[in-house]
Formats: sequence, C-alpha cells, structure tokens
Amino acid sequence: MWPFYLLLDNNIVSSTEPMAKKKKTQPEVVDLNLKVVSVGKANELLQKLKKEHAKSESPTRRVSSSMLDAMVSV
Amino acid sequence: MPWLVSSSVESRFGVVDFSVKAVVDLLLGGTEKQARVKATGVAGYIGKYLETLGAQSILVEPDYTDGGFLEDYVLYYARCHFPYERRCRRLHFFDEQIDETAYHEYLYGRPQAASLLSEDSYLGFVVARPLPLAPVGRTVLAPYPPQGPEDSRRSFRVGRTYRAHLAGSDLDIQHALAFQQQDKVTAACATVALWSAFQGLGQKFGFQAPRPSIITSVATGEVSESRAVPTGGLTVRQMVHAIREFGHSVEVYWPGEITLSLLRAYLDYGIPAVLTFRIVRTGGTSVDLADYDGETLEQVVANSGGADSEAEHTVTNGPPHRSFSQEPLHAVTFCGYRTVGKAEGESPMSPQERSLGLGGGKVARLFGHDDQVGPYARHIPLKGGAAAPLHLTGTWTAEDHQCGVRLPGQQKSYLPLIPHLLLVPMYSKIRVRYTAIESWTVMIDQAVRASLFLEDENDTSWEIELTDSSNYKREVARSSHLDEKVRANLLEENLPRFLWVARLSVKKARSAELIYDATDIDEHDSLEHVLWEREEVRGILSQQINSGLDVGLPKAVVDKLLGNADSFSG
Repeated sequence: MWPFYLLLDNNIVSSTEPMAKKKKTQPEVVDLNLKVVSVGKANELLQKLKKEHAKSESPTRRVSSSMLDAMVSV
Repeated sequence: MPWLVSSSVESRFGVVDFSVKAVVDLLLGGTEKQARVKATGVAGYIGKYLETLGAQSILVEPDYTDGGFLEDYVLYYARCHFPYERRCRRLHFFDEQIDETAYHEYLYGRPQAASLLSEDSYLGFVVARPLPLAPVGRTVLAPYPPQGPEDSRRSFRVGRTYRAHLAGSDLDIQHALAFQQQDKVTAACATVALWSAFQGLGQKFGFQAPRPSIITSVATGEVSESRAVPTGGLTVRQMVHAIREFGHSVEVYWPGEITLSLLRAYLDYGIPAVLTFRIVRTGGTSVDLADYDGETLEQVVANSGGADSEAEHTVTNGPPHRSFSQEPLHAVTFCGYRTVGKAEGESPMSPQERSLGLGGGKVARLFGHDDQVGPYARHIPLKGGAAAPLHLTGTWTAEDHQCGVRLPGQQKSYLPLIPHLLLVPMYSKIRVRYTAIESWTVMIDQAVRASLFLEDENDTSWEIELTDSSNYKREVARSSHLDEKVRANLLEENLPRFLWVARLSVKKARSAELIYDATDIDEHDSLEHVLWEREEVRGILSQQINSGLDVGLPKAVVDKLLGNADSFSG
C-alpha cells in the first residue's frame, strides 16, 4: 500500500474541516511538469487512444460450451 | 516399578544421508519400478528440488497411515485382486545433518539431542504410496526461499501452514502447498490440480479441503461420458462443477484474457489459479527462447483440424513446425511467482498490459504444482499470439524431433504450453472479475492521459490488487505517512469485505488510489473511493472534464474520480 502523505492536497476533505497537519517526513515532491492543453487537443488524443485500444483489444469471446467440454486428462 | 527399556532397542525409523538417488530409491523401491516411473521423473524432480533447498538428511518413517490414501484404498485398491498394501512410508527432510546416533539420543531423551528434530531445519515430507506407478503421495515441502537470483523476489502467498507430527515433535512448514502425483485411478491431473487448489483456499477461507477421491466423485456426479473410477480425467465443465459443489465460486478466464498481471493479482491475495493448457508437440528442431514465435504456433495449432489429428504443416516464418499432434489438456495449479532479476529483461505482456504499464512484465517465473513434473515447477512466460497472449514453457521436456524452446545455457528444450481456460476458485462474495477492473482502468487511463496530454504510454502505469477490508485497514493503520484525517476516515469507513485497488502513477509518481467494491457486480460501477495523492493530476483532469472533454465514463464514476461525491468529502 502506498503512503497517503499527500492525500489532503485535494478536495476530498470538506472545506469546512480544518486542514490536517502536514507530515514532518514528507518526501520531496517531484514536479511532474504537466501541461494543460485545449479540450480539442485533449479530445484528439482521447480518440486516438481509444482507436489504438480497439485495435489491440482481443476479440470479445465467451467461454464456449466446447471449451468447457474439453478433456483434462494428460 | 520403573519401565525397563533395553539399551539395545533399535529405532524403527531410519536415518539416511540425503542424495537425489536416495530420494528416488526410497520413493520407488526396486529397479523395475524405478525404470517405469523414470518416464515421469517426479521422484527425480523432488530429489533435485530438495537438493536445491539444501537437504542433508532423510528420516524414514516406515509405517505411516495416510488418510488420503486410505480413502483411495477403501474406494478402489482394497477390491483389487492384486494385494496392494494399505500403509505408506513417509520421508522427512532436514537441511542439517542428522545421524543415527543423534536420533537415538533424541529417542532416549538425552538432553543434548532434545532439539534435534527442529522445524528450523525441517524441509517437509513426502508420503510414498505403495503404488508402483504413482508412488508420490501427499507431499508437503517448503517453497523456494523468498530471495531469488539477481535481487529478484519470490512470492508464495497461496500456501498455508502444515504441521507434521514426528516422534513427539511438532514440525510446522510455512507457506507450503500440498502436492501429489495422479494415480490415474481415483485422481487424474484435473483432480489433483483441484485438490492442491482447495488446499490453498482451505486455510484462507476456513474450510476442510476434500480428498482426491471425493473430488473425482463429486466432479463426475453430473452426467459423465466415462466412468468415474478408474478415472480417465475430468472435463473442464466437471472441474467447474466440483468447485461449485464444494461451496466456492469460480471465475473462468478464456485464453485471450489470461495474462501475468491477472495471475499475479490473484496469487498476491493467496488465491490459487488452475490453468488448463495444451502441450504442443510439433515436429522440427528446437528454437532459442528469443526466437519463439507464438503467433505462428497458434496458427499451426488452429489449422490442425482437431485435437487428435496429425498433419504436415509448413510455415514460411518462425520455428520450423512440420508436423505435430495435439494432446488432451493438462492442468497445473499456480501458487507463486518470481519477479525479474537485475539482468533479466521484462516478461512478455499483452498490448493492454503494456499500455497500462501493469506489473505482469515484472513476473519472470510462475511456480505451479504439475503432478507429472513436481511441486513448485517453474514455468517461463513466452510471448503468445492473438488468441492467447501468454504462452509458457520450462516444464515438459521436448524429445528428439520435437520442436521445443531452448533456454539460455541449457541443452534441454522444453515444449510450449498454450493456455486453454483458467479456473480461479474463490470465496463466493468476490464477485467482480479482474478483467472488469482492468476495463475500468483502461477508460480512466485514457481520460487521464488525454487530459494531461500524455502521448507516451509509459507516462502512466497501474497496479491492480485484490484485497479485503481487514488487510486494507491493517495497512492503513501501519502507515506512518498517512494524513491524520484520511487515516481516521479510512479506518472507520464501512468498506466492503473484498476490494479491488487500482493504483495510478503518472511519470512514475504515485498519483491516485482507486478503491472498488469487489462484492458488487461486473457491469455496475463499483468504484467506491478515489484517493488522490497528486492534486495537480486531479486538478487538470477536473478542468478538462468540466470544460467539456467527454471521457465516456458514467457520471457517478466521474464524480467520484473528481472528488465531487466521495464519502470522505463530509
């Protein structure tokens, strides 16, 4: 399990709650260098990812009756 | 009047220096049997396995009543014309030198030998049955040690604690899983694979594991094409039926779904996985591990025209498959794995595993009980084809003129194994399949990558873990870095009994933990909580979705993902 040392850096806790104390032993937070792009650009990437996934996805199959009737006897 | 004990009394138990040959001789007895059983090699494998564990001594218990064999005896052997014996012999193994004199001193109660039979040096036992062709009965041996080669780690969480009572000493074997050879009478490979799986489930979910003859009897309780005893094996359907009849649920995964990440998720929670597979015997010459072409092999198998056919095939690429015959299926019960060592490359992954950066690629070996090979037999992952992304090898030796896979530094070649169906028996309240969580993870990963404009699939990675609320809260309670408020909320939260936990890392920084209710149903949104560790990730995701990015997730999931509808929000 991960340590949750940064969990309160979000809005999970209600704003009416007092902010919990930061831990003394907080590790160094590395800048992820994230950039915000336009929704249109984000959507383009999303569609591309969905297409790639559809290509790589195995065909949906159900366990067939004949597969269940195969003999395990070696 | 004190009891009189003659000082010349000889112990009925024997002490033998360990050697592979001694193990084989003790298990097989006479030369004739040895020759016959040599074909399967189980006795030899056990000897070599114990040699790897550092065995030094064998203590032979010559007259042992084994409950499992007794049941088989009553069911079948007692009514044979041939006078089979009903008693077994049990061999105990130690990794320290025990000599006859020291053992006698222990028996006579001499203080210097009081700690002679210690579980610190105990490696387990093998029951030798009086069956010429299948002498290896109930076998409980310690698994490989946790430390593997090149800083790799082994994990055996399916195992349990077994206690052996030996001449007044209670000897525990930890994290072990019982193994036995099929006798082809009361149990074929399917039965013993289920028997081992039930042994693993028994301790975890608190039930008495049934004996092999009972499993065969229950499995064949429904209409069966062949007689129950002597058994000719079970169909996969009968295996599923037996698991259900003993009160468990079973997830059946088809070959396209079987990945190392899936297996690891169940094994990590201590749930065994029974794989049925085809041992592919093709003609030709062996290929190096790096040249293995699973896709071509699958095509050859698919075009074979039936399980029992033999045909000539020529392919232009890949290994030189010329002819082959497919055999009936075999079964193995997986109970552990080893991670990749420093110098080892990543194991093959399915496209989806790779895209999600799941941990399957870090699994270098799977350990399973193969009743025709031995306990904890190591299986090496191979890149499969479109039908089955994961193939295996490393257990069944290729004979002359068979196309096998040659391992680095070894002369021997091993046959490829192509998965058929994977059976995962489990407690009935674990209802959500691994693949359902992986499907949610794909969609959420796409949403995160698109929002953050991460074009490189390596920028995000996931771990998917099955756990229960007790374990989860125990980890929360142990965590020293946990924020006070979140910790308190989590510890008091009424969580479902079983949980799937998916952990997201962005650019290798742990970013979020998604907690799913594993007791829900696959189709339903079972996402319970999302704990964000990197606010900037959640923030950009929220900004993009609120600006109109349609990530294709149900509104309830989006709300939980963005922290708008979490029970922790007060």
